[in-house]
Amino acid sequence: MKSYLVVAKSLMLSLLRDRASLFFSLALPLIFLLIFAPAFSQSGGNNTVKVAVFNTASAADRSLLENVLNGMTGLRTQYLESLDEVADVVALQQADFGLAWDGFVLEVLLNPARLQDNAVFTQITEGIRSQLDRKRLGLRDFIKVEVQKAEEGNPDAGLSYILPGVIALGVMSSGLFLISSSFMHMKERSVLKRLAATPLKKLDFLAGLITTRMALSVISACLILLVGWSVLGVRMPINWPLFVTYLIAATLIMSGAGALIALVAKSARSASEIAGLAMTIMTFFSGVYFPLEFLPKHFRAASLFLPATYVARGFRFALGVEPMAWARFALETGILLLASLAAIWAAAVRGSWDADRSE
Amino acid sequence: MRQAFAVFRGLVLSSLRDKYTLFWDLVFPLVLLVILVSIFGNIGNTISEIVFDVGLVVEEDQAGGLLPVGAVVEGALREMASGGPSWLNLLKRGSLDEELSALAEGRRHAVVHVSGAEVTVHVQEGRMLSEIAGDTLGQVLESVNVEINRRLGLISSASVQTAYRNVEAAAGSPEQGGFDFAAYMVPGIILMVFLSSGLGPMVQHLGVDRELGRLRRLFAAPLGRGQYFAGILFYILALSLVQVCLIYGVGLLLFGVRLNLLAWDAVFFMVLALAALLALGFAISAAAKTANAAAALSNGLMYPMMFLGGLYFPVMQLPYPFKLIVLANPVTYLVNGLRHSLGVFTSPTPPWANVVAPLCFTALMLLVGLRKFKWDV
Repeated sequence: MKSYLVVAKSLMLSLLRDRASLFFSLALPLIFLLIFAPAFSQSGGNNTVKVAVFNTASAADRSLLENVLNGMTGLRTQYLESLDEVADVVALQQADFGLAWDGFVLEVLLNPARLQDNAVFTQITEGIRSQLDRKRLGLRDFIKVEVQKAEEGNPDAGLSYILPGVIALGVMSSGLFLISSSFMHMKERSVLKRLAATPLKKLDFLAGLITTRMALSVISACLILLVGWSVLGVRMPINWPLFVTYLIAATLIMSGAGALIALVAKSARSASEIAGLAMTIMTFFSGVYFPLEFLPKHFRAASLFLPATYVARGFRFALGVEPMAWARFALETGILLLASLAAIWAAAVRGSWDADRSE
Repeated sequence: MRQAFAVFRGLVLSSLRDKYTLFWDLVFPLVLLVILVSIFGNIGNTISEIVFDVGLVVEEDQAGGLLPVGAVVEGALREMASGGPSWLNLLKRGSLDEELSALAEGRRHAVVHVSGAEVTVHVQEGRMLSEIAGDTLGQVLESVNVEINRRLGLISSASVQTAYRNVEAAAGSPEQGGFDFAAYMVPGIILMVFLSSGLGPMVQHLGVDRELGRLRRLFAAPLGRGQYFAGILFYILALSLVQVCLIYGVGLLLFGVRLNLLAWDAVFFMVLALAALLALGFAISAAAKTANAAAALSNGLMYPMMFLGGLYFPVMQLPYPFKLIVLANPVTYLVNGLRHSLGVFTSPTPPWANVVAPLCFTALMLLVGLRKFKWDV
């Protein structure tokens, strides 16, 4: 126990001096959160949606549209003199989308580059159309439709989705590079060879090394939650005991993925580079920023083989963003954890600590 | 000149021997282009292929209303779910409680509950696909209501039609075609590699060589500072040229993107981009005292400049204070100018700003660099 504590303390101090690891594990996820939160959060959420309108309808229909638009919250309307002007302001992103109304057809002008927002604008437009119909035709409600949302949760689904993803990203970074980079570098520089000559047990050293990364994961997750809560106003029904437990499990799972890389890589540099590439690929294909359903079919199939897919989903479950059956959660986590421990054992305990002998 | 060429040659040989540098400089941008275009270029089609699992619970109308609403709603939803590939997988299996617990466990995207004339669509707030399913079902049920009104002869005039169209976001003539996401991404990836070059090799070589005392030793040889610097610049120029050719080649071969990269205004923006980003790298090398600090500063600046410069998605609509960063970011103007000059996307910033802002930025960075830079630690 004493040797474990000594190792953990010295490795922690060494980690605190390693600016690159701190940047990639602590600062980068925060930067990503602040960058992607406004970009991917729903435009209909806290942000005002700017709509440019060209109205050529009769006086009655004209005021009908104006009333409908005025009654909608979160819309800022700008009336323009021609359809070309509307098209221009939409193209120049001075308005989010445009509407042209002649009393019969509601023409909607979208900017094709606003890929992630156009679905929201379409939704808003359909709401406007529905209100117009209701008021103009005097519809009788044979069906009273009400969309009821669960009370818990954050009103902005985009933000709720991203936050656990960014936490997963921080854990991925600290876990993936544990064996593939830190351990391999120490092995290559003969640090481990010298340690092996001391009475220090391999498991004590490994436990100390993993503890430092666990600490990094916890600090990273706390920072992200704090920024999400204070800056972005994200409120989530967090299951704290589950979240903390999963944080530890996820760091081990990603460390296992790093250990697998270490088993196939020929040098510390190549292991570190492969881990960097794996990190980039997993960022896109693991549902970290957007649901897997948004991926093309073949990428979706590939995502099933990435541990980060399950880690990101596990965090969404622990943070109350995505429901999942407990049995499935336990099974996925258990299998990954066992496989990861086996990989860590093979790479760091059973494997040689001497770089010369491994070659 | 010979000495500058020797530095250039040394850098090229060192890069060619390092397969990892080659990968990140030459292959990775192409991988990123393919990934981004494959995912986001077709996102509309991908989303339209999503099938939502929707539970249906119909309670008998005890009051015996005018219309069998449950049967009408079920009929309409079943018709939608049965015809060909559908977005709807309708499941009518359990009670409301059972269906709601299935929703809570993620086995349903939404639950439609019909009780008398009231139809409630239950979704889970904060769960993206559940909310999309709820909104879509809400629209479908509204249109069912309109149809019932029409069939009962209660309304005669036509309901409002919606017609969607994309604005001409491409800056070129209509003959050049409409918006193409792959064509939109190619200039973005080109500027991404320029940003990496400006904040990578420049900062790295100056910082590490200075810290390890290599510069002092090099300058003891018959090598001038200008020649050393010129050698690095030649290397970055050559690397950028190869990168642009590869990115364009992959864009052309895989996605059929045809851009006139040799048009004078496109060349101007690419040269301006390289100058501005190299000047930034020079200023970072000058401001940071150690190679480690320079690398940290570069990394800290690279990602916000990349993502809040609109290289991958439009950013002009972002709310404040993010928009301030967007407007202060020279990459925003450079990528807008390059895309506009290539006819792939109308610049949301004024053309004069696309030139003036990067020029001022370059001048400022050069000023900082020249005033602060030291060849020795």
